[in-house]
Amino acid sequence: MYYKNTEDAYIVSISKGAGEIEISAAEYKDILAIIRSAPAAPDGYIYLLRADTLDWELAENPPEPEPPADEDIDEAEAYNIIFGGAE
Amino acid sequence: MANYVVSGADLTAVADAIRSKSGTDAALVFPAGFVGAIGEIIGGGEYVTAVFGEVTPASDTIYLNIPVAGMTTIVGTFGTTENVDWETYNKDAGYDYYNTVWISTRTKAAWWPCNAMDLSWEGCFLSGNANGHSYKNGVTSYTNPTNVKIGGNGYKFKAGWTYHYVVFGVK
Repeated sequence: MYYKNTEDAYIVSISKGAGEIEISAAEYKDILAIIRSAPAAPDGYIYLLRADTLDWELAENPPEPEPPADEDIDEAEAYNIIFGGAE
Repeated sequence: MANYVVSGADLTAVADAIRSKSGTDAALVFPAGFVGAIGEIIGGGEYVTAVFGEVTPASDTIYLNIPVAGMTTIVGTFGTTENVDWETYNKDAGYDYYNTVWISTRTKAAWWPCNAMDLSWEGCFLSGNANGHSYKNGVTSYTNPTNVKIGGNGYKFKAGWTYHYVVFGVK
């Protein structure tokens, strides 16, 4: 099963397995091709995909925070998170 | 409806019974804490299942919404991506923190805290990128979901990359 997932007037993602609006395999393939050939947005902007026309629309992209340095964890801590067990 | 006076000892006995089934020793606040904890216990007619799927974001995003219709409680997620052009990826410093894999687990009555000192985190989210870095973050929403939201704090999911996932939950 193929789906497109929208927010307001835009397609935010397409998905397989579960999703919001069921679409055909052909439509899924078409949208995937459009997404993967999206133009590069200038700094500070992002391209949004209109659900009705499948055209890209340039929009301002608010600056996002960099990952805090203390959230970059070392291998030992990562191992402990996965295999260490809950306290 | 009539009102009743209940002793603290009786409430504690009920709470202990709930805790013995839910596997937690956390304090339960009456009534919402009791109700919530009972809701987390898997009972008759419920079963743990897994949803497999894939999602491709149309634009770069710090959140990835994973559609998981029909689950009442999510107990864990795992995901990774495909067709990563590692050479291009590594050359582009701006893409340094794109997510390529994530693992989230929920043990006991709350998402497993990655950082026990930060109780605001609801879950454990471990993600990695091409440079071998790992990050921890939170599963943003999971209660009675149609979507599980993964990410935040600037860890981007890249437009056009297809993320494969498994979500474990209760139906």
